[in-house]
This record gives sequence, C-alpha cells and structure tokens, in this order.
Amino acid sequence: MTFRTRLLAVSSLTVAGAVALVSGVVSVAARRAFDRIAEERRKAVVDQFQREVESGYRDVEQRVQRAAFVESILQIAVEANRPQPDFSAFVGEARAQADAQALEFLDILQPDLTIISSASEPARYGYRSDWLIAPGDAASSEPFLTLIPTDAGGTVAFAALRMVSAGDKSVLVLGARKLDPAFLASLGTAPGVRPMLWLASGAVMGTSGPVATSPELNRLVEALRLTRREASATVRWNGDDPASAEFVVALPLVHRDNLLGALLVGTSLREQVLLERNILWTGLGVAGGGILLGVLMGYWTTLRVTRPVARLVSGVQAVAGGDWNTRVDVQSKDEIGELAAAFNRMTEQLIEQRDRAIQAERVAAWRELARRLAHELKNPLFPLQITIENLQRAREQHPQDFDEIFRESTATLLAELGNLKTIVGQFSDFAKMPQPEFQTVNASALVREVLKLFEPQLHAQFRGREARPRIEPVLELAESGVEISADPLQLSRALRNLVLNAMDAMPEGGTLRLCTTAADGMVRIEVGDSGQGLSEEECARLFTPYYTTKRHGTGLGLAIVQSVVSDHHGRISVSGEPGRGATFTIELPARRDA
Amino acid sequence: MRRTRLRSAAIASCLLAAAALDAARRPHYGGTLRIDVSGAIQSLDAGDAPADPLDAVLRENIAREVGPFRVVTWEPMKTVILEADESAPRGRPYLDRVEIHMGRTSRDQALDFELGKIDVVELPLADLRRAQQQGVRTSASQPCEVIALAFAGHRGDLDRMRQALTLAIDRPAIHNVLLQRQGEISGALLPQWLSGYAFLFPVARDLNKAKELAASAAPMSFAWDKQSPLLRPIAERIVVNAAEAGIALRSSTSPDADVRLVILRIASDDAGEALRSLGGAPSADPLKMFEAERGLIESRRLVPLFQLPLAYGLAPNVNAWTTGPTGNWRLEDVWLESPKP
Repeated sequence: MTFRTRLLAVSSLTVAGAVALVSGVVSVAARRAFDRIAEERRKAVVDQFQREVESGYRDVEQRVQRAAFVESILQIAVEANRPQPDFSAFVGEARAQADAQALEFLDILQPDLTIISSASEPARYGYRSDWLIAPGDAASSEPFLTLIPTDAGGTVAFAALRMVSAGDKSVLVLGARKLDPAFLASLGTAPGVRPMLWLASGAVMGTSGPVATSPELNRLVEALRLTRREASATVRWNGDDPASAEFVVALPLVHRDNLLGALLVGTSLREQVLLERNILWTGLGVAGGGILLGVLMGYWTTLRVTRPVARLVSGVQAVAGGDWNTRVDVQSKDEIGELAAAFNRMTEQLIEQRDRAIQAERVAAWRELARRLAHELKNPLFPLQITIENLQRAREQHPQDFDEIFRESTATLLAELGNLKTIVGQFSDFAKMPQPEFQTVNASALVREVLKLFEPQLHAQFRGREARPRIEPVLELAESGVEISADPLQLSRALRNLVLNAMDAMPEGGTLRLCTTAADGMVRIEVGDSGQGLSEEECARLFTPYYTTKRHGTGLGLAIVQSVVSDHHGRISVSGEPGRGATFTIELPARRDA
Repeated sequence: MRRTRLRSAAIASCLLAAAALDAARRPHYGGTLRIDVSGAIQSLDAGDAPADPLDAVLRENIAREVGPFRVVTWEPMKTVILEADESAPRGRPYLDRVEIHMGRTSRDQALDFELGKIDVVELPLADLRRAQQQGVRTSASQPCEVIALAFAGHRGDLDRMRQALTLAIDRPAIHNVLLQRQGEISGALLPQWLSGYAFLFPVARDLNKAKELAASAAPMSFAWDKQSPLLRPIAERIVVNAAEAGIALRSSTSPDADVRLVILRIASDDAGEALRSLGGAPSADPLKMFEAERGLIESRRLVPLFQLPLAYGLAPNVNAWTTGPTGNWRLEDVWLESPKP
C-alpha cells in the first residue's frame, strides 16, 4: 500500500468515523428528545382520559338522580306499599325515564333487585337484575362500574343507583351508560391519540367498532390481569410496518376486585417513527455526503501532501537509476520543501563528488597507465640497453667475439622489440575496440571452434624443451536453445582470452571445462579450470583494467573480455576458491526467435 | 200574576234548553266520521284477500259497510271515502261520509286523536287501560284474535321442544303486564265465549318440566313480525322465558323459522265457521268440536297463547259506535254529536 493510499485511507476513515459519530449522537439525542416529548404528551393524555372517565361517572350519577326523583317513580314506590302491588302499569316507565335522561340502561327494581321495569330489556320484568352489583353498591351513593350482560357477552358501563322511598317501601333506580364506541368517540382526543376499550370477554373496541388485537396487546392485557394496575406497551398493529405502532397505556376498569375491562389509550408512534426515520435517512444522507466530501477532500489533500513526496520519490529513483541531474521542484516552505531542498543539495553534492571522483579516477587511470606503460616499456628497454652496452663493450674489449655477441645481441634485441610491439599492440587493441557486428551465433559451435584453435597446444607434450603437463578439455555443450545474437569474432576473442587464462592458471596441468546451457532466456557459457583458484579479493578486482595476477600480464585481457560481453548486453562473473580452480561465466541474451 | 208570568217564562226557558239538549243527544244525520287504521288494503277484490289479520279486518269492515255506504274515493293502501247511500235497503245511515285513513302507525293515530283530527283510532291493548284512566272513551270487541306459536321444520325434537316451550312461557306475566290484562289467557284456538270449552286446554307453566324436556337442545330460530308493536314485547318475553328454561331462541326473519309467533283471526261469530276458517272440521257436538280443535292444534303444531280483542278509542262526539264480536264495525248506527251551542 502506497503512502498516498494509506494517507487517503486514514483521512477517509477519520472523516467517516467523525461524521458517523456525529450522526449517531444527533440521532440518539433526537430520539431521546422525541421520547421525552412523547412521554409528556402521553402523560397529559392519560390524565385527560382519567378526568373524562371521572366525568363519565359523575354524568351517569346526575342522570340517574334526575331519573329517580320524578313523580312516576314515586308512584311506583307508593304502589309498592299496597298489599298486592301491581307494577304492570309501570312496565314502560324505565324506557320513558331512560329516554328522558339519555341513558342506555335503566332498570327500576324492587329492593330484592326484581325488575319492575327495564329500558334495555323490557321483557325481563319480574326477573332479578343480572347486572354486576355488589352488596355495597346499593348502600353507596357513589357511581360504580358494572358489567351488563348482553348478547355479545356483556358490556362495561358506568352505573349509579338511587333509592326512592315512599312509606315503608322503596324502589331502586339503576341507570348506566355503557362504555362503547360512542363513549370513546365522545372523549376529547388529540390527533394521533386513539381511545380503545378492552373488555374482559377479550373484545377490543375502538371509536369505530371492533379492533383486531395483536400479540403485544395480548401480553399487555395479561399483565393487566395479573397486576390490575396501569400498564403500558408498544403495540405494533401491522407487524411489517413500524409506523403502525402505538404506545398503549391500559387503565384498568375495576369494580370491587373484578377486572371488567380496561380503557386503552393508544398514542400513535407514526409521526415519531416517520420523524426518526426521516432524521435517520437525513443523517445517513448527510453522513454519506460528508464522507464522500471528506474522501474527496482527503484525496485532494493527500494529493497536495504527497505530490512533493512523489516528486522526491521520483527524484530518488532517478538518482538511483543514474540520473544524477535530477532536481525536485517543490515550492512549499514546510518540512517537505526542506526535504526537497536537501535532496537537491544532496544531488548537487553527489554530482560534484562524482565529477571529482571521475577526475580523480582519470588522473589515477592516467597515472596507472603511465605506471604500466613505464613498467611494461621499462622491462624490454632494460635488456635493450644492456644488450647495446654489451655490444659496445664487446666491440671495444672483445672484437674477436663481436660477431658472436652481435648475433646473440641482435636476436635479444629483436625479441625484446617483439615484446615491445606486443605490449603496444595490446594497448592499441584495448583502445580501439570496434563496435560488434551482430549475427546469429550458436554458442556451442563457437566454443568448439575456439577449443579447436587450442588443440595443438593441448595435445603438445612439450613446451620448448620442457615436458608439458596434460590439460584435459571437458565439453558440456547444449545442442539446442543456445543461439545468441553476437559478433563471432569479438566473442571468439573473448573466449580465447578466457581459455588462455585458464591454461595459464594450470601450469601443472588439469581440466579445462567448457560448458554451455540455456535457461530463463539467457545462454550461459562457462570456462572453468582446475588451477590454483582465486581469492575473494581477486575475484572482486579481476575485471579492473591493468589488474593481473600473472607475472607478465598487462591486465587488459579480462578488461577486453568484459568490454566485449558488455557490448553484447551480457554479464560476466567469476567464482572460485584458492586451490579449487576458477570458473568464468558469461551470460548472454538468447535470441527470441531461437 | 207577574210572578206567575215570570215562572212560566223560566219554565219555558228550561224546557227550551232541555229540548235543545235533547235534540243534540238524539241521533241525527250528517257529518263525516274519520277513522285511522293501521291496516292497508289494495282493493275489495275477492282474490286480493290480505294475510295480515288487521288488513283482513279492515277489508271485511269496508266490504260490510258498502251496503249502507258507497265508495266514492279509493286510494289504494291510503284512503277510502264512503258516502251515505240514500237508497240503502235498511235506510240511509246517519253519517254523510266516512273517511278511512289506512296504514297509520300507532304513533300517528295517537297524535291525530290527540289533535282532534280523527274520531276513531285503534288502541293497542297495552294502552287501553291507561287510555281509560285518562278518560278516553274506548270500545273493545270480544276476543277475536289468537296469538299463537307455530312450529315448523323437520327437527327431530320438534314436538318435545314445542312442549318444552309451551311449559316455559309465563302466560300470566305477559297477560298482566304486556297485555294489561286485556283478552284472555288461552290454550285454545277458539275463544271461550265462542266455543265454551276453551278452559279445557292447559295453560299452566312448569319450568322444571320444561327444563327437563329442553335439556341440551339445540337453539331454535324464532320469527315474528318485527313491525308489530303487539308481537314484539310478547316475543321478547317468550325469549326470556325460554332462556330461563334453557331453550335458546335465536331471532330470525325467515318464514321457515323453527318457531313463529303469529296472530290468527277468528273470522266468524259462529264456532263451526270459525273452526272451519282455521282449517278444522266443525261439528254440532261440542265434544267433537273440542276434539277437532285439539286435532287442528296438533296437526298445525300450534300453541295458542292468548285470545285478544280489538279496541278502539273514540272521540267524545262519536255516538252509537259498536264493535261486533269479531271486531266488525256497524257504521250505519253511528252518528256524530253536533258541537254544543
């Protein structure tokens, strides 16, 4: 991962994290604020509903009071005082009073709760009332809740009981107003608030009729049954839609330990859910936009920050690649600018040092060349001087032997002059290495040809008058895949130099190993000997011009080999250990069409 | 002398006043009698006989009066106007005209009567006693309608349930309260005044026996004319009584209900004719008449409950209004009192 990518990733993650954190905090804070507001609203609504319920009690109480204290009811009480009371004439009285007082239920009862007249069930006269009336209800003037049996299983109603007496007898007037959709609709509700009624029979009614129940509501009702105290729960009416949820507060309707039902106050969470969802989506949108903007800004910043670094990297790579004239153009005044300036100063110093080193090397090379030339030329010149001085001395001191000495001296002179010529020729060759003329060459064939040049020497048993130790050539040549593009003359010359060096390294005889192989698009030519070998230091300096391990070498042979190999876009290396011979390895590119 | 003259003048004045009063109270011709009825008929055609007993009564009454009167206006189901027939065989009736307003509800009739727009209205039996207590002149016929339960269908336990329901119904409570003691409790089709043996049919309630018979019985559908102010409270009371015996009666409007509460009309003041009109075979022998009626009740799976009269409320100026034993009018004798001077 590049520095730019890392920097971009870090900046993006930082921005994204910060935006997500802010969005999350805002979302949570908003949710808590909404919850708090909703809770306060719910509390207000519940209080209002409790007041409405209380008002319902009082309303029924007043209506029953008005229904009870009328002349006709008093007549019924008077009739009750007769020995054989006949209430048949009053069978429609309850209906009349119920209509007058807008009561849905009104029964006129004898003290033993036998119905004299019933508004809701006129046919039940003579039967005992089956409303849920506790013994204390008749004695109390307080309104109460009751359960009135109906075909649908019973209805909960606000009820009040009044006793009307005449003489020794009395009758009871029992009126009630049921808690039904009409009652629920009469409750003043705010938008989003829905009153419902749960009855002990299991039915749930809303303002417009029955309401389908839900598992959450069933659990709430179960809790209500157990505790008979106010309970609340979030009820999701449509399981798939969170916006259908309501927060339902259940107010138990209890009459003397009998749970008759519950008033359910549902506060819609739709607005809250939609608002929270809106905030969530807005937050996500803002966060997404912020993150995108942050990434873009991070990218831009990263570009700005890393561009000088990239230039520095490019400069360093260029310098590493040999282009020391590279300059990094960074205008900033910060640390990167200082680094670029330092880099530029460094490259300038490197160039200066390189120039100085080149100059020094040139001087050293010239000195070495002068030393070599002086040394190489001095060696033949000294015998020439001695020989000429011997000739002069022989002419003066031994004229009789002059001819003999002259012949020997001239032979020596010619030999030394030959040496001088050889030395001068080598220097000349090194100086004027021509450009190679490439053609397809089979490396194995070339090696065979070179070895053929040395066959006379390898097969010769004597060198001068001395017996020549045997050098055994060993060929390990690949038959295919060793075609290279090369100048055969120059490459043959380089191989000849290596073979000559190998033979020189084996004065006591040995094995000359010539090997060609092809691998990885390269053709490898190895020339090895089993001679005295090379130390590590010698291996390192072997290709330096004018460095030689031979007593009479010019140090240009391997330099010429290296020059030829380099002109052929190849590499040369040497390996070896003292006493175990040495191996020169030339690696040249194989022809691609081979 | 002067005293004698004054006394004579006073006596003459008294005689004149008495004569005027007597003249006002004597039948005289003229006037229009206005009657409100709940029944409504299309025409007097023989093939147009209505099923509703009240409609049937109305039809018979109008048809009967066509003798002394003749129809001058006929608005089907709404109004009939009769005019006195000057050449009626038994002489011209006292009234010039009779207006019969059909299809009037009890409430409409009560209002019209209260406002003096109508001279004669039908009185629900439940209101009869109260009307009398309020000083309204009333006229009631002999019991001429039978309220009965009619069982139908193919339930295997129909006869057992019929017996259970019969024993479960508290007839006295209905008679005393809902019918305000009008009419008679009866287990017979023909009223006691007509047959003389109606009391032989049992009417006693036995709730325990009813419970035994109705044990684990399936609910029965129960139908009645929901528009009838007479039948509705009786039907509701029967439902309550039945529930006490463990019999579930489910309200129904189907004509094929298991039980129906019906009104049967006694169409004749002759027992044999009346029994024949109900589908029985009359006989001159009272014992055979009894058996025939019992057989008719069994075959039609009926449970007679009450014998009820027809009652009318009369305006103060209506005189000589009489209702026959079967509820028939006798308009030829009716005359209207003139307004007092």
